[in-house]
Amino acid sequence: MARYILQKAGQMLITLLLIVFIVFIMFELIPGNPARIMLGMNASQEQITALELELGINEPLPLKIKNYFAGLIQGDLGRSIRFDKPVGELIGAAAPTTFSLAIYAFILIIVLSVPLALLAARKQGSFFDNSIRFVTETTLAIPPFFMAIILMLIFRTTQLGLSSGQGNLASPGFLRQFLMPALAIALSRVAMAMEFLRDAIIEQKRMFYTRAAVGKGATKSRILFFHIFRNSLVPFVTVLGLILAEVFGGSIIIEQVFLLPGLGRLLVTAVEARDFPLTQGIIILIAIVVIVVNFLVDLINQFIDPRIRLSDVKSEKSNLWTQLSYKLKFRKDIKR
Amino acid sequence: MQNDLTKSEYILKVEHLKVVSAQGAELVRDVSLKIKPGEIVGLVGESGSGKSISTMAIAGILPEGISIAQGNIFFKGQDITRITAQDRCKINGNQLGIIYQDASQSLNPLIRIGKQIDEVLKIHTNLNPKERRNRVYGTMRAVNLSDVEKLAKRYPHELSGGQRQRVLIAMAIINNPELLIADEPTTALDVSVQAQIIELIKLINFSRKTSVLYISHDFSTVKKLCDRVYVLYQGIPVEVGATTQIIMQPQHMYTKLLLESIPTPEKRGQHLMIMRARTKDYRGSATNCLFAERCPKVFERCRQELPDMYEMCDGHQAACFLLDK
Ligand SMILES: Nc1ncnc2c1ncn2[C@@H]1O[C@H](COP(=O)(O)OP(=O)(O)OP(=O)(O)O)[C@@H](O)[C@H]1O
Ligand code: SF4
Ligand SMILES: [Mg+2]
Repeated sequence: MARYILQKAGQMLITLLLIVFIVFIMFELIPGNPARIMLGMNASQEQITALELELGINEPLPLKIKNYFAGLIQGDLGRSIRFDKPVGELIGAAAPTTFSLAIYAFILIIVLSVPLALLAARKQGSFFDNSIRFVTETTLAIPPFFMAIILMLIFRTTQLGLSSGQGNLASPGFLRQFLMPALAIALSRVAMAMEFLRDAIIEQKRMFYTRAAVGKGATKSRILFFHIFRNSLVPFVTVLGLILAEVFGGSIIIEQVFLLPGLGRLLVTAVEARDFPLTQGIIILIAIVVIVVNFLVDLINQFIDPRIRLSDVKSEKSNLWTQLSYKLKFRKDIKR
Repeated sequence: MQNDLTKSEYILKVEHLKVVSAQGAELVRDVSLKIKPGEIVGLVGESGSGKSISTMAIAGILPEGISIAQGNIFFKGQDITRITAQDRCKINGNQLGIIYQDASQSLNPLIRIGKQIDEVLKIHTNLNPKERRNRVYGTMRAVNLSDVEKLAKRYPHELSGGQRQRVLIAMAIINNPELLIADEPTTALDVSVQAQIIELIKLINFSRKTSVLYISHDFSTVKKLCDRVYVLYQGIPVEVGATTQIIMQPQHMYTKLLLESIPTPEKRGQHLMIMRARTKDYRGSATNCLFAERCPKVFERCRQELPDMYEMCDGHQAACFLLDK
């Protein structure tokens, strides 16, 4: 077990370094002189040369990579051109809003999808099952930003969700203030989470060991929670991992709609201002989040299902395959 | 048979059980059987004859869509055919232990086996965790599992087929049930392990006074274990009797066929009559001897009505018109 975690953590670290490297190279490959792009058409040659020197643009690539990584290890992501502040500081100021929003939305997804899935799975194909699925699948077709507008119209009291101040899970009034943006992100994902859990529960219900548990004298609720629910968690956790990554993406868009000072707005500002170091920093952070979430999903899954521990190579493949096949199956289901 | 016995003198008494699928197919047509306390009763029949469905009906664990259409099941005198889920929970795992045909599918793959055995105690007893643990280990040893502390921490997929079967047996007998139903517990195992499991069931029956309903598709194990045998054909018992009587003097043509298909040293190399799986659909109630199309001695009457049970002597009965004298 410990060996497995270490191994996974090692893999994660290598992936992280690779991602940083790729992002760095990508920005290097952007054609044109960054200094000229940043300063615009009217800049003089002296200004450009000065900036080139400051940014170290003309240094050889290996040295640039070395410098960047060296900075990274010390937590130095470079300096923002637009704000003239350390990138780390800017991200540090904006991240709590985005993270809080994403976590809030994520919790809403779980809180809404688990009971719905349990209810829907009680009787497959029942009126209740079909209604739940119809409603959730409708919300799936609505993109978060549009959902946000609908929600605003519904609630009318726009100030409920319009928050221009900083906020995080700890600040008072957060839950109320962030409810609408969080709902806008969450609602369209509830369907996905719900569907996965419902299918898994129905699949587990058909397993013979469920009936064998009745043979042991186990009560219905005991079977549902001790056996069926637990055994349905692997696909559910996997899809929740995918959703969590998506939720971060979703909150970037939603921040625009609700004018929240999070990473999303920072990213848009950075891109507009051609602020390369800042853009780079935010993209690397998002990549880190995705990788860490994946790592956690793997860890939780192998904790739930001991068979995943069998062989690392096998688990790697099967994990990917379950993810993929579920994804494909899901898409197919939605089309149907 | 001994009709003067009162109901509760039987541990299990099944009367005219009929089980149908959602499509109306008769999976079990008309099964009646009785088990006395301490008895080991065999239920023999080829694949698809309705053995597992019968046991599932008794245990109340029929698959979705399959239901009891007729008949009654009495457990210790109590009609359990249509009892509530709550009452069912009190019987199953406590007074009635079941060993399923497929051990690997009967265990939850995600739970350590010690915990799965323990679950039966948790449900039915008020023992504290320490007492439960001791009893789990004790029962695991009783079914000849070794190194039980370590084994209890394993997951089902980490066990051999024989070990899994023993775990299932341990789970079934841990509360000293009055009746143990064993549905082909040896099919998936190799011959030497088969013999051990048979011995184990014998021992449980002897030391715990547990009645046993032992299900199998061939006579070779039944004859080593059972006091009495029911031969099932297409959901109807066609012959009943003491094991020795049935083996020495089989009356029904189907029983003879089954007995002939047991491989013995003398018959090695000869062509064995191969048991075919049922081909005809079950749909509709029978109006003829179901064995007619395979019976070498079939005659006119066989195609016109369903034979009743004819009694030869002292509990030995068979459903064949040849015995109607
Ligand atoms: N889940 C099910 N749904 C519908 N029909 C079923 C189901 N399970 C079994 N049957 C049918 O019921 C009949 C009896 O099956 P059963 O499993 O009782 O046979 P069996 O005697 O136990 O055979 P085996 O020796 O192969 O275990 C068969 O015709 C089978 O096809
Ligand atoms: S009743 Fe007829 S068909 Fe049936 S077993 Fe007897 S002889 Fe054969
Ligand atoms: Mg069977």
